[in-house]
Amino acid sequence: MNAFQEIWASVSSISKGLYVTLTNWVRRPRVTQRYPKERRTPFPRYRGLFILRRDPNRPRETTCTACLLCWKACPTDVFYIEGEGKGKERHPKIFQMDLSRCMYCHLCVEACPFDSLAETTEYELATYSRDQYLYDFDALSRQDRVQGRIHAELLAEPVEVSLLGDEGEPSSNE
Amino acid sequence: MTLIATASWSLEKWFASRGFPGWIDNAVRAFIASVAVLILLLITVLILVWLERKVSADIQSRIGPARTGGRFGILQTVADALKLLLKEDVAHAQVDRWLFFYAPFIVFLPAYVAFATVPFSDRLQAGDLKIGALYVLAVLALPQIGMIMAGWGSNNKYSLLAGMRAVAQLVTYEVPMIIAILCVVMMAGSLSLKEIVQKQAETGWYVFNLPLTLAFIIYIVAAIAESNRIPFDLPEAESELVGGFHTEYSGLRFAMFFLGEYALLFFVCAFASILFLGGWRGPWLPPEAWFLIKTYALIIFAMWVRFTLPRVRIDQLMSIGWKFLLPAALLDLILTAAWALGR
Repeated sequence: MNAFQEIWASVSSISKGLYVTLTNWVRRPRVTQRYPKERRTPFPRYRGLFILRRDPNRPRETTCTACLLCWKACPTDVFYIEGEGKGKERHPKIFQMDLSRCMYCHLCVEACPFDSLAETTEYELATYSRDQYLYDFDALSRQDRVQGRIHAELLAEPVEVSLLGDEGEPSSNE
Repeated sequence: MTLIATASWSLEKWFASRGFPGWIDNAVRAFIASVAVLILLLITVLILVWLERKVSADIQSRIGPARTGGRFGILQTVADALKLLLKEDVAHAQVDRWLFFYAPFIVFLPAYVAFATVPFSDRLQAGDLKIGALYVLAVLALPQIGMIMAGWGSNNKYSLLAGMRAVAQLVTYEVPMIIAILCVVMMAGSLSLKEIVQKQAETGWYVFNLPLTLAFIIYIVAAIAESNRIPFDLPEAESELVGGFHTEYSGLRFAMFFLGEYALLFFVCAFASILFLGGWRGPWLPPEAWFLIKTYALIIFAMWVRFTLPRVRIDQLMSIGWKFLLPAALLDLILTAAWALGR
C-alpha cells in the first residue's frame, strides 16, 4: 500500500509542478526589460547628474552666487569654484565638479541657499575616461540634456520648493 | 518526397545502364542518405538549442535570445556554433590523447548512425532493417563508452566521476527501456521499425493500448535519463561536477558533445513517436510532417519537464531505476504478453 501511496504522491506533485510551469509558459508574465530600448522610470528622488538652475535675469544666466557653501559641505572635495562680481552681480567664473569623486550624498544640494544646485534623474553617467567626469559650468547648466526627464518642468524657472521635494514640505528660499 | 523516390529510382537505372556492379549503386545511395541525415541532424540540433532557450525563457518569465537574426533570435545558435568552431582547441598536458580526442565523436556517432533505420515515412527511410529495434538498442549503448573515455581521458577527478556516473545511469536505465521496447515488439510481432508503424494502423496508436501506456511512460522516463537531461542529468550536474565529463573540452570538441546530446534527444523522441505514437501516420498532412510534429511534441514535453523538475540525487536515481522502473517494466511485459495473446 505504501508503495502505491508513494507513486501517487510523486505523480501528483510532478503534475502540480508541470501545471505551474505550464501556466507561466502560457501567460508569459514578462519581467525582462530590454534596457536600451525600454527604460525604467527612475524614482523622483533618485540622485543622478547635477544641474545648475538657470535664471535669465542674472549674470551668466544662473542663480548661483558662488557662495562656496556647496564646496564646504562636500565631504569628498568634488567642487572647484571661482567667483566673479560684487553684491548681487556675484556669479561663478569657474564652476567645476569632478563627479568621479562624488558619492551622491546630497549634502551640497542641502547646503545651497538658493536651490541653485539640484540633482536630476539622469543615470547614464558612464564615460570612457576619468577626465570626462570633470563637469564644468556649461556642462552643468545645459538644460537640454535633462529635458523630458522628471525635473525638467521645474528647471525652466526658479521655484520655491526644493527640487527633490523633501516629504512634500516646501522649503523657503529666504 | 516523390522527387527523392524518383531520383533514387533514376539513379538506380542510370547505374544499371552503365553496367556498374550493384555495390557501387548501393555505396552512392548510402553516401547520399548519410549526408542527408547528417544535414537534417545539424539543422535539427540548431533548432532544438534555439527552442530550448526560448522554452526555458518563456517558462521562467524571460525573453530569451531576441536580437541575433531578427526579433526572435533565430540565428543565435548559428552564431554560437560559429563561435565554438573558431575557438581554440585546448587540451591540457596530462590528457590521455587518444581517448580525449576521440571521445566526442564516439558520443555523437551513435545518435547519428541510429537514424539509419528511422522511417521518416514509408517512402523516406535510409534502410529498413529486419532487426531495426535491436540495432537501435545496440547503437544506443555506445555513447556510454565515449562518456567514460572522455571522463578518463580528461585526467580530471570531476570528469572521471561524471563518466562513471554516466555509465552507471545509462546501464541502469537501458534495462527498463529495453523491456518497454520489448513490449512494443511483442505487440507488433516484428523488430522492423517500418512494420511496427504499419501494425499500428490496425490497433491504433500503441499508447492507447492499455499495457503499452505504462510502457510508454517507462520509455519516456528512461529516454530522458538516457539523453542525460534534467531531472536525470547527474553526469553533468553543474553544482557538483563542474561541467561533467566535458569539463576539459572546448571549441569544436565541446560542440560535438553538445551536438551528440541534442541529436540523442531528437533520436529518442523520434523513436518514441515510431514505437508508440504511430510514426508517420496521420490525416491530411504529408507523413513526414506528422512524424516531425509528433517528435517535436515529445521534445517540447521533455523541455517542459526539464524546466520544472529539480535534479534527483544519485541514490534516488538508482532506486527509481532499479526499484520502480524495472519491476514496473517486467510487470508490463507480462501484461502485454497476456494482452497480445488475448487479442
